[in-house]
Amino acid sequence: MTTERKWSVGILTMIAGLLLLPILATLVYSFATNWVKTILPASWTLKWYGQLVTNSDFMTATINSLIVGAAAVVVAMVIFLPVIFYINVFDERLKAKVRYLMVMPYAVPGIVLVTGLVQIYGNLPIPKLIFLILIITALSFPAFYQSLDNVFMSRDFRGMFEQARMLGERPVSAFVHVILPNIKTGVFVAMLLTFTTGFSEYVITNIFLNGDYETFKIYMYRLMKANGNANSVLTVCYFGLLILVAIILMKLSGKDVKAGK
Amino acid sequence: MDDLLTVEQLNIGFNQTQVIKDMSFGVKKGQLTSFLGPSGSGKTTVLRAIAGLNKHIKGHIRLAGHDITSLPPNQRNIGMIFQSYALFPNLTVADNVAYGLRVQRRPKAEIIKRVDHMLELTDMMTKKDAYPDELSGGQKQRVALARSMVLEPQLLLLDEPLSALDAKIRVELRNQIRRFQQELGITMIFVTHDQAEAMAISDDILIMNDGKIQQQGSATDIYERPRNMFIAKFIGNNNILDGTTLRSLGCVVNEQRQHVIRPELFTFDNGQPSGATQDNRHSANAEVISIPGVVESASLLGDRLEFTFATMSGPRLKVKQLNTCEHPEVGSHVNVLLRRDAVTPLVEA
Ligand SMILES: Nc1ncnc2c1ncn2[C@@H]1O[C@H](COP(=O)(O)OP(=O)(O)OP(=O)(O)O)[C@@H](O)[C@H]1O
Ligand SMILES: [Mg+2]
Repeated sequence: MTTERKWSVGILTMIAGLLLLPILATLVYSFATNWVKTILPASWTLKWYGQLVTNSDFMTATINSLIVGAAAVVVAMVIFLPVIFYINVFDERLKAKVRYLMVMPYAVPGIVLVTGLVQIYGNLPIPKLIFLILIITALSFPAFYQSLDNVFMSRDFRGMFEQARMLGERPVSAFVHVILPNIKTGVFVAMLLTFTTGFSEYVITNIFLNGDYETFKIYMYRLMKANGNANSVLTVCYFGLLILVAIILMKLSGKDVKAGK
Repeated sequence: MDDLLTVEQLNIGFNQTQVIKDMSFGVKKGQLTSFLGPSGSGKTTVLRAIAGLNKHIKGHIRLAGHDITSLPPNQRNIGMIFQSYALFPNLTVADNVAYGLRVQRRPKAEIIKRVDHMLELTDMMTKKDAYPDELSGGQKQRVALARSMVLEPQLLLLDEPLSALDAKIRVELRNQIRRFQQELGITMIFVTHDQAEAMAISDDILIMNDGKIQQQGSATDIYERPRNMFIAKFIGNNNILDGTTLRSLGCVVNEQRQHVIRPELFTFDNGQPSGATQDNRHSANAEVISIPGVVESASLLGDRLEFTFATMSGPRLKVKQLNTCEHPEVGSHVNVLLRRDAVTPLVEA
């Protein structure tokens, strides 16, 4: 190992340690009966976990978040997938324009976005939850798009689609029979990312729905003020979910692309 | 023989640029017709229009008497082979070939029988259960052929099907395609920009340039009687001379026109009275002129030699001879002999 490399590894380890420490502390805290004056908790317990699982607020919040996540996935699959297929395979020019669109969610701060949305859609007689889902889906577009972009470049999907048409298929069946099976890993990654975006959304949900619709994240913040231990349990659950998603993504990413080589 | 396909006044544009300009032609039933032309001449564009893959066209396309201009591709009974083969990577060779029959919901027994027959014909039986990514380029091509041919389309379109393969397999596969075409009596349109390929396997050749048809005819027609300057330059390696220059060489022709002389039609005068000179007495067309000059250079093209011959009166001529007979040294002063009927005037300017 060169000296430069030793330095880099050392610094990276330090940063990683700094970032990991609070998570570790949270994990420890979630199992502690009482942890105030000692270095390590005085005694250990599972009672916080038990309390949370039986708490109806927790269940409602989790289910609410699951609904938002799942709905975002459905909307993205129905709207984004065909669009991304179309621009990648048939319309290079439109694709260039869509690239700009993709930066939008990053360029406009969440608060500005929400204020605008509340002003425009706040008084319409359509359930706000529907709007919320549409907005969250829109925000997940960049992630959805990116996970499919490489996949579409890995093979001649246009040729395959048109070939299926020449063999007698109608457009939708051609898409389902020859495009989907060959991009399924990419689609799964896109779905997962959209789901986590939906599941963990906070800012927009909170302001747009005035806290009427309590999701996982909102519940988490509410709990933070009330009970530290319970909150760390929630945080641990949340991290567990994210780590699980991350592991699946790491295993899957690039699978379709590799298969295409 | 009747035209199976007729294309009338086909016009296609992309973003205001006219790419296909008022094209009309017919394709005969049971024949192999080649579309030949340089890159960008519009071959693929016309093919896609026939397939129904481009909806934004003007004109009429008729197949077996029916106007198919507005039919979607899946209702045209036309097969197409893409340059990239476009095999379905998630399906085995046998499932790829069975694909179209499954779409038609044919009985299982029939599917198996027809697929097996095609796999035998294309010699892919041993690779039946392989996936496309496990095949060589030539094998992929044969699967693509089998997949289209198994549906017995009225017309099969092939867009540069051999361009991704190396020279030796190209020749083998093009002969195989020709064999299938003749054995199964398929009407085919074969797109290529390789003139040797087109000449070797076509009944009819349609040469395109700049979105227009330059000439349609048999290989012999096109090779021996190029209509215009484009064809004269595109096919072979012709000498193109105007009437005035030819007169200066001693050849009496229409001075208004351009003329083509194929390089292999010259012979070097080795002093012996040739057959051609004797014919002279019998027919005016067989009149032979003798052109004096110097052999400037010679290059070996394997079985042939190509010479540059500088005539006394000015123009340089390309002369090609089989690499068997004795031939003059570079720098030697000799005469070349030219039969009067080897000079072909261009019909169009
Ligand atoms: N989708 C498109 N959009 C814009 N222009 C196009 C499109 N497709 C083809 N063209 C243009 O039409 C012309 C003919 O293209 P085409 O692909 O038919 O040529 P080709 O004869 O098949 O060439 P090649 O031998 O290179 O395949 C070209 O000038 C090309 O730039
Ligand atoms: Mg082409």
